[in-house]
Amino acid sequence: MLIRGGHDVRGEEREPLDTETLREIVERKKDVIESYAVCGYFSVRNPDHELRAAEIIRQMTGGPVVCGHELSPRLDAVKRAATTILNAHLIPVIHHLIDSVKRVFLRNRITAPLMIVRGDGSLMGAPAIMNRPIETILSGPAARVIGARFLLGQEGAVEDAVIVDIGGTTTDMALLRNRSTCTGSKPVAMSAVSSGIIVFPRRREAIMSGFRFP
Amino acid sequence: MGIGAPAHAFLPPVAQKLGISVTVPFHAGVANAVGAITGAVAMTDEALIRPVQGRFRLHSSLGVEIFAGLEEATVRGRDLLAKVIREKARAAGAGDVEVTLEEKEHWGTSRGGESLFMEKRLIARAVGSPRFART
Repeated sequence: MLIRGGHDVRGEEREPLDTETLREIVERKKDVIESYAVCGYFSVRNPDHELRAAEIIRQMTGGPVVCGHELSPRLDAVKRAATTILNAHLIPVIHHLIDSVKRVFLRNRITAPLMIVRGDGSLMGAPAIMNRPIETILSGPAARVIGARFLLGQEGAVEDAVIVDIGGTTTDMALLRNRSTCTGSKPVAMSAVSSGIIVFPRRREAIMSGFRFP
Repeated sequence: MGIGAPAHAFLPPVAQKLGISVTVPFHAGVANAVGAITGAVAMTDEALIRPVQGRFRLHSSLGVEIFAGLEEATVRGRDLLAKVIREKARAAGAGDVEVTLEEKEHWGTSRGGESLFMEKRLIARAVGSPRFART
């Protein structure tokens, strides 16, 4: 759904946010929508409209609402919107997964915090990842590189290495220099995820923005 | 270094052919789980300062603020990011975090040969172990 609003490159309001139409649309659709994505022009320069629209939706529905500027700090409203919408599609899926895992925790009296690996190999608690499931894309290969770095540290004083991760259908590689993983500067081809991922020269070009893991 | 369940089988002969050394750790098959358990919470956030008609505009996740001087805008940007990034890291499940701030200035040259301030980007990173308090 498109409504009036948005900012310009300087973060100046281009036109006022049409909250009236927003309320009408939400009222009409709220029974069939599970999660909401809010994306505005130049919201990374001024998130005001996204934040206000999200607040209205939250008040009216209580449902999960995620804004584009929360997922990606990059310009390019169209890509950011695609990312945010893909993320919204994944929210019900990750809720289902986390609820299932929590039930198993409860049944087995496990009180440890539930942490999920992100695409850059870092961790995020379950409550936070519930709104940003897109950040789990390629978390498997990323976790393996972090694990490999740890295992390599146990082996002795190796500083530089090529990590070759052989799976059932793919082989991913990562470069370790001075015990740090080298990262690319391009976003993942399928989406612009806010944080970085480790370089995996795969066919679908999984290279992410420049986050350096400590 | 090889990881993944079949690495033991494939990599040593490859390394031998290439004349390089290869390590396949005992737990190579579960490097994924090792990564999950040894990982840290890490969050980043950015702020951007741009000049506008002799003044400076600070763009952040909190909105837009305008300052008379670059230094002023930078100080506010640093304070704001330090606070925001700690909150983000805490929301992501971190306990104590270490915060680092990177600053990148971008200068251009005017037609008259003067150097011109284009923008300044502040990038904050917070890294910490998961918080193990029971909730």
